[in-house]
Amino acid sequence: MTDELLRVEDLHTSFFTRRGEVRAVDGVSFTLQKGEILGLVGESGSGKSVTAMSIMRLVAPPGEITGGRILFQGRDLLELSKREMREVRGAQIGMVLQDPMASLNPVLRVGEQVIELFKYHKDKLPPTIAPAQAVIEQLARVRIPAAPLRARSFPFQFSGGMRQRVSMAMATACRPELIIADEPTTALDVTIQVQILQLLLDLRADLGVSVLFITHDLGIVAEICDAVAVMYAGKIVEYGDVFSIFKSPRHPYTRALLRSLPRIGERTGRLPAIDGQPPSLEDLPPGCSFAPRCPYAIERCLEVYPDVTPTDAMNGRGYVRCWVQPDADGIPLRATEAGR
Amino acid sequence: MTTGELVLRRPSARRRPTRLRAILDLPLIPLFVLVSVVVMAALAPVIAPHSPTTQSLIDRLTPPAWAEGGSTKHLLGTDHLGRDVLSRLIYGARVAVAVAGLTIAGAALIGTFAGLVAGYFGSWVDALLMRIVDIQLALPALLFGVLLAATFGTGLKNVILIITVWSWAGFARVIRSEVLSLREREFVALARVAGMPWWWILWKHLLPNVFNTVLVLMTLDVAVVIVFEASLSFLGLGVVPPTPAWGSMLAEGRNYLTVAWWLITLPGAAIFAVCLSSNLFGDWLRDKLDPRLRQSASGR
Amino acid sequence: MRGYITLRLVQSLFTIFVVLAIVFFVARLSGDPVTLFAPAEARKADTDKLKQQLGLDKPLPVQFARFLGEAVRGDFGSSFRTNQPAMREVLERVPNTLQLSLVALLFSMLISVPAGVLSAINKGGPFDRFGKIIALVGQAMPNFWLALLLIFFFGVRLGWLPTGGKGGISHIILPAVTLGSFTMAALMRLTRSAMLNVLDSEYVTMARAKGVPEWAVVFKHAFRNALLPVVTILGLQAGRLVAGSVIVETIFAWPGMGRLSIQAINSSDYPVVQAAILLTAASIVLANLGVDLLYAFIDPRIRFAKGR
Repeated sequence: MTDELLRVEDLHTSFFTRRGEVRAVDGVSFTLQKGEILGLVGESGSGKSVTAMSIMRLVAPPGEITGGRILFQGRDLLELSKREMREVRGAQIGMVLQDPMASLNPVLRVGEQVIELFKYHKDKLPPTIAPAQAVIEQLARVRIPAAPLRARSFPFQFSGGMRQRVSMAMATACRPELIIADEPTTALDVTIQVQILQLLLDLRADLGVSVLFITHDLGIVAEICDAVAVMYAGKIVEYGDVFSIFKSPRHPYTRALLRSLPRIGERTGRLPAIDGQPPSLEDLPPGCSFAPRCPYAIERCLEVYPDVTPTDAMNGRGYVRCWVQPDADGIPLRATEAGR
Repeated sequence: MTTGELVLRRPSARRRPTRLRAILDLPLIPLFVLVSVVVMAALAPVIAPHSPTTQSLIDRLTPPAWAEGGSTKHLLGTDHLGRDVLSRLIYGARVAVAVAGLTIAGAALIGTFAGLVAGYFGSWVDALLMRIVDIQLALPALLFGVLLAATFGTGLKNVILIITVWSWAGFARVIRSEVLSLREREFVALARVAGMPWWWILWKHLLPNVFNTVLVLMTLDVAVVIVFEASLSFLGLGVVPPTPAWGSMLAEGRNYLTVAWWLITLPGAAIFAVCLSSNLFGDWLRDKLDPRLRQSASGR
Repeated sequence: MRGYITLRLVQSLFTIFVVLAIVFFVARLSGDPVTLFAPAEARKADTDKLKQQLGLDKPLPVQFARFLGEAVRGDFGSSFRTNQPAMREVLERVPNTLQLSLVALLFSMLISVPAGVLSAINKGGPFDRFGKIIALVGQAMPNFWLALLLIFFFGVRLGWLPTGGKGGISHIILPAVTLGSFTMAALMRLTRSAMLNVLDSEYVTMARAKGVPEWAVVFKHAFRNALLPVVTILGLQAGRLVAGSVIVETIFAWPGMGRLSIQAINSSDYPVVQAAILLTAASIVLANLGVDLLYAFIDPRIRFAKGR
């Protein structure tokens, strides 16, 4: 009886455009335990959203999942029929998207949109409650005031934060085991952000749900995540628990990310941004994708993509992909000549 | 998508256009048709095998050369008065080109100017012009065209005037909304701050930016104008006979429908070909120049 | 919403007023109606008397006021041809035109909307390509040519359908198809692009993420939103249908307003011309108004907006 809820193995998703194949997700692997909140971090274009969509099998053409396995509760989601996958969506895996206004259908009442969860996943509705009542209870659970009235309202009559609560209501209506949240707070005010994050934590406490939290905001990751996977150019470059990663990041990119966070009390002359630009996914350099920008790069980095080096984070689940690692005595890295 | 289909696929078969074609990427057939029509119109006296107005009662209602009873003397047959259909078609192109060219040029000029002024100045100028445009667009075009033609007379000149008066509104409305969004951009504000007079700003700054839109609208307008003119001619209110026009050829041929199918098929096909080609060309132009127009133009 | 309705009503009335003015002044501009439209052999004394009777010797603004007053009461004078009240002649024909326009509109919608939706779902596939060709052809084909071709094939060659006049159902088929063809093509293209737009939006992805079956995603979520721009265009097309009925009615000898207008114009039957044009314009304005109201009803954002 394992604790493992989700296991993504060597996932590959590409977009086939006129200009060639864009490998948005290029060999991504991670696991998610029950009740764990995993933060998937990266810049725009790093492939984090596509990873999320791939798990839901909602990658839109010209995108296609080209390889790998996605094991959810032991079953490979990629092997399921369309119908079986449909039953998984919403009922066992819930999703919250970034833009709360865009996630809701503008011409349908909010209640109508929430009730769909119960309509199409009839087995998830507790037998003693009518669907309409369940909707109202669900809205109340995400702390939307005046739920019966709100259920009859239209999305445009809600504020941004409330709309996102509605999204969460929909995502959790069927008590799924996993929630995938794709930048759910990016479009919200900071004060509302806090409320939504708290809501997520409460849901985890009440329902034992696992969360795959996608974001580019390391602050949020520090707040609520148990584990972190850092993505760059379609691959995970470092994966471990939150403490290890924040305390002693192993990958140069992770280090650079953490260093670029401004800290209160420190006044440096310049914000330490990372030099250079993220690579174009159509035109990836051979070797490590980060090497051109990496201050520690050696020749090997430019030639061959680093293998997975397991770390002791998370009882051996964690790993990093980098040729330049601290030596056995833990002596910190120095920038090499080649890297400058 | 199961892992059974795991093998990495190459991009789905899409012809990689040759370099030349990619640069030009022109819709060749429509362009060819349009150019041919213009050439026909220009060189009519030279290419037409016969005079379009010579009547010949012996030769009346002969079918086209490939049909039974036809001859190569009249490649596309003759009409009820023995006039050669091919020649009439060629000369008819003159009317089509003249009407299309002049009305569209005129409508574009007036409409663009009106749209520029309305969009730039706003307030009462805008309100007034747009009221006019709205009303004009809400009225039955053909009916009014017919009324105007009946009142003021027929003939090529009047047709051109009437259709121009009708077409400018469409231009004005689209150009105005373009200007409204352009107006807020920095380069306009900078010009104003620099003290440039309004006509300078319109001419140097705004006009070049809306020019693409104007071009696309002009091309898409060709079909509308040609059909309008042909409709007027069809109803007997367009070009005066015996000047051949495709629309009036159709009207005349209508009476002989049962015995002479070519009298309606051929002129109609000519109109259809021109309309189709200009629509295709206009679509291509729009895709190349200004994809945003897709929404507004579909309202016409 | 009430403010919106009032505004649109006022605008419509204003438009109709302008139409009346235009109709009035157009004829006056080219000479007074009597001289213009009276039979050639009339004597001057007679025409003078007629002018006085019709009040044409009074100054223009007075004439216009009188015209307006009469028009509001529905009095457009009597037809020069038949001596019947002009408005009544026109009104008799209105149901026929309405019938034709409605059937044409129905025909075009019944084909174009499903075809557009299917094209969008089948994007790039064979059905989509086929649909694209049909739409292109439909938009480029002049309706009088289509009419004649249809008459030729179905009426003359095949003899299946009658080619003129009003009668049973078989009589309305060809005219309605002709009249509706352009609208059908335009609507199909529009439905397709509206659907494609909507299918791309995030709430559609969200619906799928909730496990909603595909057919429900398409119809309940996508379609209803795609309808909004389609309905707008419907208004414009409705107007175009009424206007386009002129030619179609003439060719098919359909006893409607359009045909009457042409006949009246050709025979210089001025009162009927005035009445007919006014009524045509009014129906277009009404159609546009109706569509705007329908749009307001469908889009909850307008329907429930608090007063601005």
